[in-house]
Amino acid sequence: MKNEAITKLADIDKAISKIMIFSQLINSVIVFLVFAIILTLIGIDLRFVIVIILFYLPLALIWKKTRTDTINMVTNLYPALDERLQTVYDNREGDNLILRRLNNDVSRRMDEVCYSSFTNIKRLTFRTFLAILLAFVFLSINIISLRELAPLGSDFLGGINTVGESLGIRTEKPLPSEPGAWESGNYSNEKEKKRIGGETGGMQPGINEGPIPGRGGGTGYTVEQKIFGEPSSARIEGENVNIEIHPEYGGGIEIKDVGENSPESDEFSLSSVRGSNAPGKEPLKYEQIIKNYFEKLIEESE
Amino acid sequence: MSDLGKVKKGIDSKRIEKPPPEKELERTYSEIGRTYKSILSEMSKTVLGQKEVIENILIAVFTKNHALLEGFPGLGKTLIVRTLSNIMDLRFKRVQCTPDLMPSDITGTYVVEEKDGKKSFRFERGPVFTNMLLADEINRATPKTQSALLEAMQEGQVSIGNATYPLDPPFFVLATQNPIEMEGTYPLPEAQVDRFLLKILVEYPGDDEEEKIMDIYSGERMPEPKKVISKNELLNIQRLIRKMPIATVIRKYALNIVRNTRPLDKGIASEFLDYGASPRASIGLVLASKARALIKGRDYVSKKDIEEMAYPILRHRIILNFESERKGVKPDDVIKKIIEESW
Repeated sequence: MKNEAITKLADIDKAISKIMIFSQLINSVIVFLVFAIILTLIGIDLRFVIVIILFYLPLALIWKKTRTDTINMVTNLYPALDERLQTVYDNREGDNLILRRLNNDVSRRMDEVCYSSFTNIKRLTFRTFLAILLAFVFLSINIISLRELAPLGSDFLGGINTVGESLGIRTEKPLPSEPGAWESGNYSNEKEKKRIGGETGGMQPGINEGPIPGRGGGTGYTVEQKIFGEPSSARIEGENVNIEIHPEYGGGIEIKDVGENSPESDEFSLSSVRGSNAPGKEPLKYEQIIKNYFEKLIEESE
Repeated sequence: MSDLGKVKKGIDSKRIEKPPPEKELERTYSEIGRTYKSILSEMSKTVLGQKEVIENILIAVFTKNHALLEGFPGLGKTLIVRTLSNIMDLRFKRVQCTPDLMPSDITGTYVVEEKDGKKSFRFERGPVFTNMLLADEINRATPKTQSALLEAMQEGQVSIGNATYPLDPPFFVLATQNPIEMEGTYPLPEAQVDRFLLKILVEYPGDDEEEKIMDIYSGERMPEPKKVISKNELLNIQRLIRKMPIATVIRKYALNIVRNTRPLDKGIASEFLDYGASPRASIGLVLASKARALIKGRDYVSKKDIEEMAYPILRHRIILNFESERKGVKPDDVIKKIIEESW
């Protein structure tokens, strides 16, 4: 005999299982976040949280499933079904006229059972908000600098951040709770390395060649603005000379005459000063002047 | 044909008794509520109040069992049983138990009969060959006479000499006893007391009820109850009770109650009792609870049924210890504590 009441009870059991799994998933998220926050603060690798969750979730599901008594849950919410449903379930293998009538009665009463009544909305909402709050705290610790939030300074955790180190399971990256990280404002051990020369498409490895034509200027680059300060003035052999170093010219020096008879200013590179072989670019009329200037400087210093 | 031959035929016919068709049982089941109300209504014509007593007697009858009624004289014990037998269309016999009552006065005896100049023995059936036997003041009969009822109550048959005589179903013994005037009485032995499913206490009626009793029985016309249930219907009800489903947790509760009456190292029983109830009490408790559920119009046995039936089932099966008797503790007080302890 097909027992309609038992079929309906099985449907309710499935619905309760789904609700239970959803609830346990939220619990797992909360557990994950709590442990993630704690491990972050004490300086232990976050991979351990994954291990914890891998143990927690299946165990919690099994434990909850074994403790979930569907009949009890139904009868608690629907007292009219109390002993009737229990009796039908215990006598599901039997068949007689009294049982048939009881089955019909229970089946009719079970039509009034709403699956949503098995969800504790209040608790679920609380847990969801708790998960959101913990996620916010976790992100805050990892992203936002808490230096300003810690009135006691970088040691406000009271040395708890050394637990991971003492256990030998310290995280590879420096933690925001570590003193050095707070002071530098940079949580990475690796210093940022400026890419120059051949790394950026230039001809000479290790030498800053300035912007490479056709490679773009990059953020903050502009020819118009004098971001290197005012020109330096020098008096060379009775003449006032302004010197500017323009990076766009590969560290070239611009020398201008100051005065009435200031000669026409030309550009030359430092390499040319050092005796570059670049043809047709040396301003020979200044070469001797500069040479004399540096010789005089050497004499004065001696 | 000899008497013995009749007996054998009787036994065989009992064994091959056919169950009634399902439709007949269904009809009885559908009308059980109405039938029960009709019985109470007819009973109330002659017996005022005592609703619980009537209900418990009906439970004993519906479960094919026997009941022991205890109460002071003049409370209507005999009247209740006689009225019930009339309502149920059952044959009724009454035995007034006295110290000189012999077993053969109950079961019957062989008498010499002369026919056509030939003498032969003929079995003269005693009052036990009936449907409803009222053994009034059973504790005044001698143990030998009391035990004559044992086989009839337990097996539904009477053995005399080499012959066995079956009793026609349904067969019930409703015995009464007086809690006072213990002088010259023979308290029922435990083995015999255990055969009574229920011990029903008959209390004094209330003020209003007693006033009506005065009016009815001092008037000109005596009420006469009608028959409302046939013997066949009664047998169907007895079959239906066996079909009543019970939840495991409720059955376990009944078992716990009975087991907790047995004095062990700890618990209520060890404090108040010398002896507890037998497994017969466990069977009786479940069966009586099923009967109560049926007459209350339910399709299942409730926890309440077990709790209500625990008192009449257990009160004659537990034996208080000396300390409890000295303190004036009553069996019902102990049962109440055991019920609370058992859930």
